[in-house]
Amino acid sequence: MSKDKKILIVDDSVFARMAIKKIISKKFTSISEASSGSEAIELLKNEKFDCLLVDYLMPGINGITTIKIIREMGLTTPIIVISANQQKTILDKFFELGVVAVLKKQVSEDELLNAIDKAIGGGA
Amino acid sequence: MNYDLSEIQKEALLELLNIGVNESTNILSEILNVEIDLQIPSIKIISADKLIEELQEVGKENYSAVNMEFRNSFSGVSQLVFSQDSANKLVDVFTRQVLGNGDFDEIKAGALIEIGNIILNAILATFSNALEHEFQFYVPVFFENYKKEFFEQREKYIGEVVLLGKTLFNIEQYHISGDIILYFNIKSFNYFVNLIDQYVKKIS
Amino acid sequence: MLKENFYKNPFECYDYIPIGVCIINSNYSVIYWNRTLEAWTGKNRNDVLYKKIFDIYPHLASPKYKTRLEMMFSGRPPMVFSPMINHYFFPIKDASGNYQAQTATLTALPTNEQGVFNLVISVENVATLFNRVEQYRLLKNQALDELNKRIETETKIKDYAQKLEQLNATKDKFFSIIAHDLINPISSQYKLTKILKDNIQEFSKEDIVDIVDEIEKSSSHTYKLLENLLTWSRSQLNKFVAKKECFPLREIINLAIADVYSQITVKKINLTIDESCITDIYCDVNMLATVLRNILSNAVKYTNYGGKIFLYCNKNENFTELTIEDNGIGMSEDVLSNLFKIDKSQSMPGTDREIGTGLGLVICKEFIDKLDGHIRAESKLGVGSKFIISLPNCPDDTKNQSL
Repeated sequence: MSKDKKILIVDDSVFARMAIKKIISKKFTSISEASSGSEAIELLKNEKFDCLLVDYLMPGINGITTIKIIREMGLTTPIIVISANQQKTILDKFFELGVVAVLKKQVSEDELLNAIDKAIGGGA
Repeated sequence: MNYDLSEIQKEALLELLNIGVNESTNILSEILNVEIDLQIPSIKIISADKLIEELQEVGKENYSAVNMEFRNSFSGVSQLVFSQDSANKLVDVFTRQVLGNGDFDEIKAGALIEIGNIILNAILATFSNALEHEFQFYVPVFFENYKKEFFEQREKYIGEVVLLGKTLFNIEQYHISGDIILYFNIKSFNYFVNLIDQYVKKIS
Repeated sequence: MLKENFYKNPFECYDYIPIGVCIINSNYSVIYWNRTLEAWTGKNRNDVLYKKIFDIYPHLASPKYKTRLEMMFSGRPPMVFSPMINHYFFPIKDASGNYQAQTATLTALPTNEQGVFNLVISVENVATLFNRVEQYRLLKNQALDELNKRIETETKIKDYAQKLEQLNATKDKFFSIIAHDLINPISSQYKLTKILKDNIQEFSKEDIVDIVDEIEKSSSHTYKLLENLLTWSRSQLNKFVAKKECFPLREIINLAIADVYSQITVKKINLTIDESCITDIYCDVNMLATVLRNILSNAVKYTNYGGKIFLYCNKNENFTELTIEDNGIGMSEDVLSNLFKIDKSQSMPGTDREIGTGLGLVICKEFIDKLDGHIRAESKLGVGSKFIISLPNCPDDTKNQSL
């Protein structure tokens, strides 16, 4: 069930990845990390994930470009964006790309777990 | 003097700063109605006497700053420092006028205070929440000549520590650089590091 | 020592300051409204108490304000709203109907409940300051504009002054020529004709012929001077527009020579023209003829009896150079350097005591300039002079099939 679901965290900050991991490790055991958009894309070429947690501001390609490329690769994995930046123009771009939710950093446990639930559609 | 933070502590600090700064862009972009990109790519911890050399746009004659003090258990000053050129540019962008590069009259200063206040407010609030520490905050103050009015007034730099974050504003075609500074005395700095440490432990 | 409850209201002291103070709770309801605000807004505190701030001032419900207000209730640092970015926080009109420029500072005020805050809104009227600063900025810009205009005007005036000086020099020259150079020949004509008239009965035929000859010489001379003067004045009025065409140089030279022919013969001067001058050039025929006439006339004037004048040409890719060389009395450095200048041009008497106005060469330079050519002179005192004129060759589309 949720234990088999694979989650990928994409964020350039070690600390941010740590914080998110701490929250979701309560429900999920299979958690991978990528420190940049390009690293994430490489991983996605070979592995399948059930949900992606993506940051917006990253060096190299940012969250929006990363998601665009992932979609162009033909992957339909549900994506949740966790971003400190909540400017309307940025949010609009994310929703255009069909993300499940855009959560504000620092995300609370409830918010994140609920969003993942919604994304994967599975129960606990 | 060694002011080393561990890698993870530095990462935590940088993350909190960026969260704060991003929150401020949410407000700033509403004022201007354009997308604003504000980032702090890196931070440095240095002794206060080295500060002027480390400011961005080193060698510029004049710096202006917005200052917000905080206190409670430990005290310090949060600052947003710009070279006068950058400060003028920033005010022009935000007031959508070209006010020229004249001296900073009260009205221009007011605009810079608001902008600086929004940013520092967001940063301090983020720290306050994350570190679970309630501060007493003071009303923002403007220094037209940062070197003379603030920096040179601190007679002794011994034991004063500065956390310096180089900041870059990208607004439409403008690129404006400034520095975000947290100024502590050594006792306060240690207290602060302690809080960061507790925060990191809580999260990991 | 103050008694407890001396102040009816914990916020009463705010009634005694010249700043507008309003306190709202986390429901956005007004719980305090000071006297200054009452005076400014005309709203009595009883009218606003417990009303939501958005009901009193709807603009505060817009995201620009509401988001920031919302944030403050979690105990954040103070927030500032500056007049340059927001103009006002509470819309209050002054006597002239303009909105009061304000700085508003929002501070979180703790309550008895942990984590629950009220919000103190303090509004400063900075209208006077704001207006004065705007005025100063306007004045400064106006002053700068005026300064720039003045600098522009000064530059223009300097230009005009220079032009005026030049015109003056021209005018002075004109008058001096009339005053000096023409007066003499006309005066002698008058004297001669008077002598003739008074003595015609007594004079022999030879005498009469002699005097009439003198009169004729003098008249011719006067006529030439006057012609020169008119040419020059017309050229000053820019009435000369060069009509360029491709023409054989040799023919123009012949035209010029025809005019000085008699003098050449009288002084027995040897004039030769090299066959390198059989070539076409691009010019206005009349203007060039006038120039050559002047130069040849000078060459003859300043060459001794039995002397030589030699014309030769040098053709380059774009220009043809014509040199008129004599072995006459030559010129000093001084005279040479002032040759083509209007304010310095003077006339030297020729070897046969011929006189002139000094205008000739000034005209020559002006004409050659109009023909897009160059003229210069070289000379050595006691050895002779050279005048070198260069003129453009015919452009391909104007060349004649001649030669």
